[in-house]
Amino acid sequence: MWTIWRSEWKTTTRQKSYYAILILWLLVISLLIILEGTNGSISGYTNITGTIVNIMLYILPLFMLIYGSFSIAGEMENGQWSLLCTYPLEMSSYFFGKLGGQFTAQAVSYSLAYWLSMLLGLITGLSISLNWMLVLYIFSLLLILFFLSIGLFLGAFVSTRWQALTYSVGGWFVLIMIWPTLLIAMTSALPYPMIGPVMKTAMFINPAEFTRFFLVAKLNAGSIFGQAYDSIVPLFEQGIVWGVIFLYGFTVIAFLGGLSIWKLKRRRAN
Amino acid sequence: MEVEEKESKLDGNLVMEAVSKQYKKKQALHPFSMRMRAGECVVLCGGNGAGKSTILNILAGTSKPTAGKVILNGIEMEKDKMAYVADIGYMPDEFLAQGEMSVREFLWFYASLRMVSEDKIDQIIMQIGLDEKKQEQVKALSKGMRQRLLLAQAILSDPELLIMDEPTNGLDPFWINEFIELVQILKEKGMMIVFSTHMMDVAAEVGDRIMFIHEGKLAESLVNDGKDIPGFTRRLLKHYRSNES
Repeated sequence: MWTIWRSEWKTTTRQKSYYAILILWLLVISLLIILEGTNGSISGYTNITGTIVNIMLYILPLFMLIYGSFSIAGEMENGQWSLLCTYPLEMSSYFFGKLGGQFTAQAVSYSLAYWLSMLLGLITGLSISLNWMLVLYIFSLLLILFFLSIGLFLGAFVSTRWQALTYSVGGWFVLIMIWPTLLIAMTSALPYPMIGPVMKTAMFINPAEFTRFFLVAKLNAGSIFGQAYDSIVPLFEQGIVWGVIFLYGFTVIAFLGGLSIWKLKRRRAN
Repeated sequence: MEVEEKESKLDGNLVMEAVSKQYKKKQALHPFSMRMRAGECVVLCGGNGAGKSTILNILAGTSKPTAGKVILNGIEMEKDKMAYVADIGYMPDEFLAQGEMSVREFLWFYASLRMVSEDKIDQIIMQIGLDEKKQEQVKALSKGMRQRLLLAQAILSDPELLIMDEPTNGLDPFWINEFIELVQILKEKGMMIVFSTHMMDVAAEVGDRIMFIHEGKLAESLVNDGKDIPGFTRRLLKHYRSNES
């Protein structure tokens, strides 16, 4: 696993596009901080924080889905997958090595851009609360981790990068773009008492919604979700939240990893 | 007793038994059988699309046979793939990945997947003549150098069975000669070698058996006694032409 991890890290960080993305993050986050800074200080969940979160929710998952799915699909295309099949390599080591290497590379690039932007904000005289910075940072890292896992899962099912791109955009469209519409359409067909539990369950199905819920609750704005979520919000406001995140992350990655490993094993055997 | 005898006969051998491959309606390989002993070299010859790569891919475990079985040192591929692939080395025909890695990093990657020591990497780099290029990126290498690097990757762990798909493609005459010498050394070590080529002189120099594949079938199998290489090369060329037409 560590060999794949190290190779993934090196291959990713040596591509010019990696640094182009780092600059993109730096630009986007700095502009968002400047936007937020028009109020003079940054803390809590404001309408501008909501805008920042929405922009992060649009771009981070899309990039991570593409990076993750290309990571496997690219190897299917260029012959490395075939060569690795002639090695005594466990598919679990392959999947988790790739996830680890990609996550390290993407997290390093994002962290550099994020903390540089925060530093720029602080230097220019903005007052940014530490809690706000940390919560937004953890929210972004969780998005990177979850959507890289989904991307790798998609990559395990495709054969070319074109297919990977199509699946990634499709996944992004469902999980990010039309999720609220989808939920409204589906729940409108349900009896009223079922709507609340279905909405809460749906939040756990979509990692983007889960991380958004975490961020809003940690910025003490859980009430904006409405009365239906009152039983869940305290889970995210107290210390137990880290246990919830760990358990949720473990379940999501184990589920996606398990399915991907199953598919990769089948592809290897054929 | 009979079982023991049978197993000992298989030990150290490669056995392909009635192996075939079908892609939808196309029969890429008709039932094909072959046995090899330690230190033997089999060369597969034939035109493009004859079925040489299909045989090599099945042997390498990258393509599942539709029927038949492959046994190496008593290990049946289908039953224990991980143990089977641990004993093979494979050099693919085309490989465009890991261009950002240096020559040494590339070999380190594959060496660590097979638990091969760091010393062996440096030794192999010297052997394939890439010592001066070991810090250069793989994508900066010429086609011939990349072929040598792929060969190094395949022999890093001294496998029992070495499978190579057109290994002399892109090599200049000097390195073709070096390749021939290397194959002779590996044969002396007891390695079983199977490779495909269109170069009949190379086949005559190192092949103990030359198999002509045509339309997914074994057309002819010639045994090389190694006594008259130029004469055997001419004979192979004649057979190559007759199988092509």
